[in-house]
Amino acid sequence: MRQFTEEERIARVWDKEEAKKVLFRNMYYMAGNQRQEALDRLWVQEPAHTATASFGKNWGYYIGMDEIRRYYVDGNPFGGKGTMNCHPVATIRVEEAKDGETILCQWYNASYETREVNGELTALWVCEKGNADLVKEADGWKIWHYFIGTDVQNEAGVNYADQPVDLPDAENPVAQEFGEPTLKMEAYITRYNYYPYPAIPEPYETYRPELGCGPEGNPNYKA
Amino acid sequence: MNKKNMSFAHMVDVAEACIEVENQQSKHAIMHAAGLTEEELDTMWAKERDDLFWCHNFGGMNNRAEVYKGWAGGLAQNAHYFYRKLLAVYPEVEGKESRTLMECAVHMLGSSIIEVADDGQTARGSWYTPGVIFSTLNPEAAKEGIWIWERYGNDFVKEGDEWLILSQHVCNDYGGAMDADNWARVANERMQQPPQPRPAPEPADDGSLPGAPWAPLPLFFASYSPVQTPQNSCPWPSPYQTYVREHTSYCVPFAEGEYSITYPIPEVPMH
Amino acid sequence: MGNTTYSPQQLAERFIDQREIQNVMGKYALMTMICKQNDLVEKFWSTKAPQPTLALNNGYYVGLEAISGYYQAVTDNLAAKAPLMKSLFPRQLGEKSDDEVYGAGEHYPRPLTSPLVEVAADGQTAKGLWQVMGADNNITEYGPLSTWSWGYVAADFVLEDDEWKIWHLVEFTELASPVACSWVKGNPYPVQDAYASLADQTLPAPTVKADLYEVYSPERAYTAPPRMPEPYDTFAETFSYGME
Repeated sequence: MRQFTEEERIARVWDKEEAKKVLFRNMYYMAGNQRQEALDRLWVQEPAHTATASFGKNWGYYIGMDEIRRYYVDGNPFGGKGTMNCHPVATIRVEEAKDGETILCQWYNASYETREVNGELTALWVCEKGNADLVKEADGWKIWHYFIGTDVQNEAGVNYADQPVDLPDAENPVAQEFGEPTLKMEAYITRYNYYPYPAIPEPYETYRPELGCGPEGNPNYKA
Repeated sequence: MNKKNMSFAHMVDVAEACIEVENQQSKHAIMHAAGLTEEELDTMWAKERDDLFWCHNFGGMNNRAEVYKGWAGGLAQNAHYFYRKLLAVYPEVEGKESRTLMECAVHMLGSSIIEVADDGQTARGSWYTPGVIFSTLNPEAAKEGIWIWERYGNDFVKEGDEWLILSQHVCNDYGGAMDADNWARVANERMQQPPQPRPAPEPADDGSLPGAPWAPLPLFFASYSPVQTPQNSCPWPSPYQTYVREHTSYCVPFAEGEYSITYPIPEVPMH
Repeated sequence: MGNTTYSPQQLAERFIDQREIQNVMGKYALMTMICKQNDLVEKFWSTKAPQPTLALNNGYYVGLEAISGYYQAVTDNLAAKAPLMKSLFPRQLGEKSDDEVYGAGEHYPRPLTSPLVEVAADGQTAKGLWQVMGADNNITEYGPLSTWSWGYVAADFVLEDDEWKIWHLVEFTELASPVACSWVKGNPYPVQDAYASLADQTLPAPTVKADLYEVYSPERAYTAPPRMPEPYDTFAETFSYGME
């Protein structure tokens, strides 16, 4: 096993701290409705990464920064009077590759949103398992792949037990908001509760798709 | 922690310990969500010693064998019973992991307070954790979701290069149906009119029953109620020199620390 | 600003600083939960930094006297509930002293998430921003009630006698709506006669009243969290969470 010097060890501690800060900043940008700023500052900028950048949810992936912008910025449902959102980052686990080029992150959140659903302002709870693969670029750690597995979405003040077991996507505001991704697929399944994708970050040597949260690492991905 | 008293090498050790302790607690939460308690105990808890500790409101377990039996074993028995009941309604679940099917207990870890012992061999952490437990498939053919609010106090021990969990103090403050129960109102209603005891569960098709809570140490923590005064059952860890199980640890019914509490432990018959 | 390169020694020291600051705020949250608000200033606030402030949604408490006065009033309000609670719950509380009943039915968890801490390059100050998944479980004019208290906490810290102390604290509440209700629709619970007197409890007005952050309502314009801390060298070159 590779041994690091003390200088390398403290540098790696800060790599992980900086990676966490990227995700915390992403959360505050999201809550502040500054989505374009988040993409500009926190996401990959180098061509080697922008083409393969991805933003996934249960229903598939937007792939490439232009597509991500189409969803995340152009399709942004927030900003109007009475709307808001807050997707905190808690329970975060981070692992850095031994080669120091990438970092895998996973976290949980219970989030709230208020937005229009069927023309009415609606209060929602959204519980998510968040994931991000960060890659080192010239000016720091950047989000390369980002995947949000929605475990629960539930209108505030409504008993979750009253929600149909087989809720159609057409009646799921989170699914509706995700729109038409670049790659439509069953990417995250909650029918049997915990879903083992994306994998829990563990110590690793170098990045491989199956370790991360991009589409190619999804067990349901078909090339 | 006071950096003035630390060499560079010591600070690096402390920094890594803090990162790893938070990473381990997060992984605990993820493994708990997956229901994989045995696997967690096998791989994430202390391996070179048997004086593990785990407790919840209903009581405590004071060594490795008790933690496996009372915590992991209790959950596994519940999961098996649930699985047999579920199978009768949803044949599609046959062969799936019963502990995952029972529920997904998601914990959000907040307000972390971490101290690493001066000798670098142990660390202690406390968190407050709101959580959501959900399950999609149930024998009643309906979803279920509840909010839960809990405190965590953990001790960690360094074995080789690994930071492993030695103890976990869990204190549940309240919870209720998501998003139907207002916890304080429900607690008050239950005081005014105590709910009827639940009927005994019907055995599953293989004769199995859910597990009764088992803990050799008696009940020590009371959930929220309108008459419950503030409890500090997981005092924050203070800077400490070395781990002493009876004092600088969460391996006791009442951990020591600022604003800590003690009161007579109710005599509750345990199995 | 904020482009300083640090030596390994400095990186190690800065990590310890950052961890200590998170510990301070974790303790602040825990003390709030267990109703020890009147100890907060003595334990955590700077006594040397100029013009300390506590900012809430409706303005600034300026100076330690005003900040202590606010927390003392919170504590006094909790204590003042004791006779009422003893009369409403005579079997459980009737034989106890008012001091023993302090805080009955009061529980204020403040789980702090998304910690964004930046320590100045000169190591003398720091800034932090947290998201708060809070809840107030307490005795109100509506009876015992759980109310969401989600929002944001931000602070400036100053290194004082080798300890990180709070200089400016911001506590903004975004979501203040009863649990298990839609915050779009509002509070459905009526005042209960037995508890109605609690509506008369008040807190001191801020030293400087100001609409700093509007709690959520369907009529609210989109509202961003407090500004994020950015890397900085000295406090003079960054913004302040205090009253500017």
